[in-house]
Amino acid sequence: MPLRQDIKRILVIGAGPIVIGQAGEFDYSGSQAVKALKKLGYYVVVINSNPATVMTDPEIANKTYIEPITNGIIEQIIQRDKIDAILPTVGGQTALNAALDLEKEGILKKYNIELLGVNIKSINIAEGRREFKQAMDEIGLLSPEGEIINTYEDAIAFAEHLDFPIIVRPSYTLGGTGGGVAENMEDFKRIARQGLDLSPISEILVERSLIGWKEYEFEVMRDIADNVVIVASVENFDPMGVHTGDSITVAPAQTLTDEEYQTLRDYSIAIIRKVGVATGGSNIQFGVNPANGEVRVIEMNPRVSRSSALVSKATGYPIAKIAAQLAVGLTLDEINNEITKTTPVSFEPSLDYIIVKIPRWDFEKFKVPSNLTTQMKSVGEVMSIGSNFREAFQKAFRSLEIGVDGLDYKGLDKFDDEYLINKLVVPTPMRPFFIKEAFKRGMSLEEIQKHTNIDPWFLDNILEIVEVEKEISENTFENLDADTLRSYKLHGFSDSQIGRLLNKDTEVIRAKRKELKVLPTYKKVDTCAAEFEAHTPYYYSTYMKENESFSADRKKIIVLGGGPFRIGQGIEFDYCASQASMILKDMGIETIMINCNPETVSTDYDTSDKLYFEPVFLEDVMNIIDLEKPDGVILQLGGQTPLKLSKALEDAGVKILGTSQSNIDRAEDRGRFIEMLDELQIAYPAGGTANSIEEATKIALNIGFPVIVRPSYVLGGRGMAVVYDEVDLQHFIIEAAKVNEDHPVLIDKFLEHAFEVDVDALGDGKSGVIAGIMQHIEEAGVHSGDSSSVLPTYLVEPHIVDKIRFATYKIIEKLEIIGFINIQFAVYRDNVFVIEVNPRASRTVPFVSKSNGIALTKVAVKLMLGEKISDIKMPNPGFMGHYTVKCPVFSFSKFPGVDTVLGPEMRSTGEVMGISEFFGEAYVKSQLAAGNHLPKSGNVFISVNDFDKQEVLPVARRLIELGYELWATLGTHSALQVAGIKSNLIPKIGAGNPNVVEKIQSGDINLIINTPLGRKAYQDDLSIREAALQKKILCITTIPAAKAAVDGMDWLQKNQITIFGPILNRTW
Amino acid sequence: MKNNKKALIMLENGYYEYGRAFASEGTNFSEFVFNTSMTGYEEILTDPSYKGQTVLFTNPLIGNYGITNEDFQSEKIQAEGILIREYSRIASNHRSKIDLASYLEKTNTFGIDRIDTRAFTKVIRQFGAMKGGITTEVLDPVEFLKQVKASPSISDVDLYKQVISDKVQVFEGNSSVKEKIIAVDFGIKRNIIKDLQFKFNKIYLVPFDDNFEANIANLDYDGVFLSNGPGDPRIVKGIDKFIKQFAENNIPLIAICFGHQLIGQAFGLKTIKLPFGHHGGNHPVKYFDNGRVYITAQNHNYAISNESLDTSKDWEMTWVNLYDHTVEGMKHKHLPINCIQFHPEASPGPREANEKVFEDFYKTVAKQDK
Repeated sequence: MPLRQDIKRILVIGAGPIVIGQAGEFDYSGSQAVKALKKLGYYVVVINSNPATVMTDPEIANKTYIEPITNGIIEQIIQRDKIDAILPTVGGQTALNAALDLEKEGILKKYNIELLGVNIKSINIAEGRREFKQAMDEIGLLSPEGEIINTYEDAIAFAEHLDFPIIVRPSYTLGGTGGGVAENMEDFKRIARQGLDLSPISEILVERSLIGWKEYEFEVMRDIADNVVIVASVENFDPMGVHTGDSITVAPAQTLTDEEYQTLRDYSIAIIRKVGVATGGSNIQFGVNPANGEVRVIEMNPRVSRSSALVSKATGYPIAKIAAQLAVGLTLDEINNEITKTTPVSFEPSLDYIIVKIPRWDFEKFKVPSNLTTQMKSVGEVMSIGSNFREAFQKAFRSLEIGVDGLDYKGLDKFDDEYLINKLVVPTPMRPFFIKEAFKRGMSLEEIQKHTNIDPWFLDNILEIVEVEKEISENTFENLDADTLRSYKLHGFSDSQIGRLLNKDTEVIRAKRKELKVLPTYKKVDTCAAEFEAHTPYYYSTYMKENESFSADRKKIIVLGGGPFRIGQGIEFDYCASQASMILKDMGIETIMINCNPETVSTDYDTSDKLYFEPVFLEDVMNIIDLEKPDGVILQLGGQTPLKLSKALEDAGVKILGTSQSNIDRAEDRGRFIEMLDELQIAYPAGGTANSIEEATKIALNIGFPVIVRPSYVLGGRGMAVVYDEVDLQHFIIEAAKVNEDHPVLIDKFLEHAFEVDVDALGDGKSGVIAGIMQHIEEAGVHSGDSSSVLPTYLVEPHIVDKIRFATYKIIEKLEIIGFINIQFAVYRDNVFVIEVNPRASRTVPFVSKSNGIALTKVAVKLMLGEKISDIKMPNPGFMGHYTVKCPVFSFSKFPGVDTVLGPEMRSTGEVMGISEFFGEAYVKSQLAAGNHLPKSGNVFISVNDFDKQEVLPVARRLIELGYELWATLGTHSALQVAGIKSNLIPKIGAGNPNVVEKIQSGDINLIINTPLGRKAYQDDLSIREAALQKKILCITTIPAAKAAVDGMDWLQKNQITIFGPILNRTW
Repeated sequence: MKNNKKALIMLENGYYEYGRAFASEGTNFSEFVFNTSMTGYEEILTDPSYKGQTVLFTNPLIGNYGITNEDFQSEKIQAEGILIREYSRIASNHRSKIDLASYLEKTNTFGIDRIDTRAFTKVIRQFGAMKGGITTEVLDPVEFLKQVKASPSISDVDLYKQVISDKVQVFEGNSSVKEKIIAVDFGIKRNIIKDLQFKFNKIYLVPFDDNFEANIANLDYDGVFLSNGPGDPRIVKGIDKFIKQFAENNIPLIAICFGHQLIGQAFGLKTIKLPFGHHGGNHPVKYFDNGRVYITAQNHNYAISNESLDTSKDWEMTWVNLYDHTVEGMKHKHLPINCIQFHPEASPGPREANEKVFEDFYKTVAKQDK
């Protein structure tokens, strides 16, 4: 079919903020789609509220709006840019829901807008439980036996026809609250009753449990001519019962015979035709009974999904790009495979390797149990590629950056068998390590299979790792020959693992390996298993005979990516790394990317000249450096991950572009850092480093409580707390920080009610330029990543800003910063304190770049290559003429029971940006985009701690002026009364009815201002915040945020939200 | 694991690698081809078309699901051996009856792993499918290369004679239709018989041997099917005469793969050897009739030349390969002849073209049967 000529201007909707279940993969798919459509000659407009994305880089689309994804905003864009069609299939559920809303409101019809790549009917079939089940019935396929039920009697009657275990899922409760798995009728009666009670509409889904069944996914593409291809099959290591996003997976499927594979393939094609997906990618999940092969269709996603991104990286088949081309009328046989250049994409990739995906979790930040269930909780993932499962599996563990160098976790031998078995039965992130431990203890494969339900094929591979490990430990270093060592490497063992088993340093093993010429061979990912010549330089390492990657005879630079997304190190660094590749390519330098995160743009095969899909782990990075012999390595753009390698790389003689290792160390090492600040006469909060609890206590008493405690060398505030007394301090250190000689803790004076200012700046080794000074809305004590921030500063007095500038330049000069630096300041009673210096790109680089219209990463790269700031002549980044507000976004709803109060430990998963000439509007937009509802009128509940009782008064006064009605519990109520502010008294829990939680649950409260009340009232607080989370009512936990919210509400009452205009890059 | 012996694998162009023989041992010579199917080693090994060939699987992990005994395409393993990157120590599938290594050993077939199969594949891709040898006995490459070069070429041998049965077999088919056919056996896959059974009333499976003429003399049939089979179609003797006879008598002809090439040859079309053949389960093939693309199973080293088909006034191409635009199907413009190069019966491979092709086959036969 020919390309559509009747449409000219296409709006692509992005996925908005990163939340658990919807992460960077949609930036990958969005930017691929935009680039593809633009290349086909369309005028492409992008809307996305997430500034950290590559997709919203102004150079990607023709026009880019960073605005809340709402009907009102989209309608304005439709009018302004004369949009003909909308592509809603590459922006996750967010984009799809936005499209459905536009349809529902009649906006599509009003402007005669066509939705590309979907039809509403298919979405309804795929997403509606009943509709999907019925559709499957009609084509003779089975789905899990289940029924939506509203009465206890019906539940019992239905359950009598089912085999146990049975799953009960109440409708409309948060995170599956009130549901459960019933092993027998007695269980079932209890859970069914509880579920019906807790469901606000008395509705439960009763379903036969497929826990323990094998789980497969098929990734399917369909074009307008009804051609269908399967891009890949994926097999889950973890059987059903663990959300597929939380499962370890492999591709291609490993334990299906052709007969079974073809059956699932036929089903997949039948399903996509039945559901009727217009064009593009879909993902279909199957459960298969391992005992007899019985198949159940679990679900289907009628759009590009998380697994599409994984499968694209796993095969080299760019699903999102092709989906976009199909959406505008091309058919699969009309699109060329960019890798072979000679064959069409109407084929099915053949893999001559295996990929393993392992999710990355951050449970410790949420202080909830790490059990893996049907609710996805991972925040990122890694993919690795290898010749066999063991090699890829161990490599994936190296990629995860969880402190392991393979399938190897220290100290599991201390647990007793009972504990171990429990850890086999209950899935957690640690399960693979416990499986290995079980084998080491001599547990049989059959028994482990009984406990885990994991396929014997996977288990046997782990057993082989255990056997080879034993073989290595029984060998001696002197005995190692090339063949033996190569065989160890082929089982995925890292040099450090081998070294540990042979009692040798990693370096010694590495030297021996090089001496014996046991070097990795790099193989191409080519979609076709070498059947055709491949033109795309996308590589993975293995230990085979032939190496396919050669160092080119031209200037080349390696850029290290940031590894898996995690809280504190997210998509921002993918943006930075991708930008670096773009500018280096423009400068005619060969760019080589190393990264292992499939959810990224930096791992697209066309982002860099060469891509190594490898762990950002010293051994793997050094192997590539040895082969490529780059002119330099950039490691300040990937967050803390590459920066951690700086010392080792420099020791190995690698040229690091940017700030020198010695200066990086000076910023990171607390002692040297403080020495420098003293020398520069820059203030910092009093504090010290403690190697024991006693020392910590001494320091704290010396500087005075409250203090902020954290382990040294951290990212994203892991294990941080503000403590107010000695008991708290000791408690925290014992629980969280595990202090010892190797792991000291830092104790700093906590500056209460100080506010924080974040500075991003650039240096050329001598002088510096400030890119942005951001003021945090939340006060010090809330992690900078969890705080909303405003650019430019809106409440900081000029002389304070001057002090900040002055200190920034002094630090840049002293550290001879080349490239990025980020400095956090606390402003406390007219004084400026330095809290932290990061000699690298920070999380806020994309936000600042898009706020002030300067592609900062590109400037930074030029500086790293030796250009001077005076030569670059970029426009003044400080001059903006508008406000931008960055607002963090949390995924708390995925963690039932989590406390939502903000603290020094970062927990946000994503961010959005609001932009406007007016602060109030920028703030409102940021809240709207973050999904926080600011009410225009109604009831505001206020409950603040004693410190805040005075601070809250101006906020309360303004709320009254704006016509809101105030509600408060006794303490706050009295304070308001005394100040003459009218409020209604509302009982605490247990002090009368309806109490505050009931009032929130009934929907009578529209906004909550609740600052933490201290340990005693904790339970009350927690219930309030839980109820707010459940009812999706905005709960503000700091006074400064409340002030900003009132500014926003004031603005909201008087104005309409309008789009600010496209984001532009200023040129120079 | 039944065996663990060092093996030398040598191609006639001198490319070699050492691997591990995990099943049988000894020395043997064959043609080396690669197959890009990610599943289906059981079907491939038992497909008579692989007689005389050693199959290199580009999928690195083989043996994972064992041998089911249910998915065989003939009575036994036909391929000379397999070359893989890693043999799975464990067979995990509820249908698995025996592990692959044991089965290979039982049938005296080579299984070689620990090979850089990608490097090997690229050699075959660049230099074409070629002769080679596997040995656990002559580990000196220079010496073994001489032996490989001296070994007979597969193109010189009528391999089909080694895989066909020695008697006529009758398969009852679909009783709701009346058309009966002869299936000329050159090494037919079981699934082809199954698929023909769905479409036709009765199938007489007649081996193409010296008794062929006598065997079909008294049969009552409405059409003739020519099967797949191993080796070079250009050296098959004696079939042209029968094909011409059938055609003259207006007897419908249908065919798959080897049979399709034989029909073409009988009508003066040319068969060429492809550089490295088509062996896999992911080839896109376009059906001109409806413009649709089908993903197909493929296994052939030879093809009807495009040139000879284009210049023929009697034939038209019905299916084309979208990878290299070679002929994947053709029909005669005036006579009821319809043949297919790829494998609509799949086994292994995608089955989506199955219904379309076998329905076309049925119509080709049924139309004449008024």
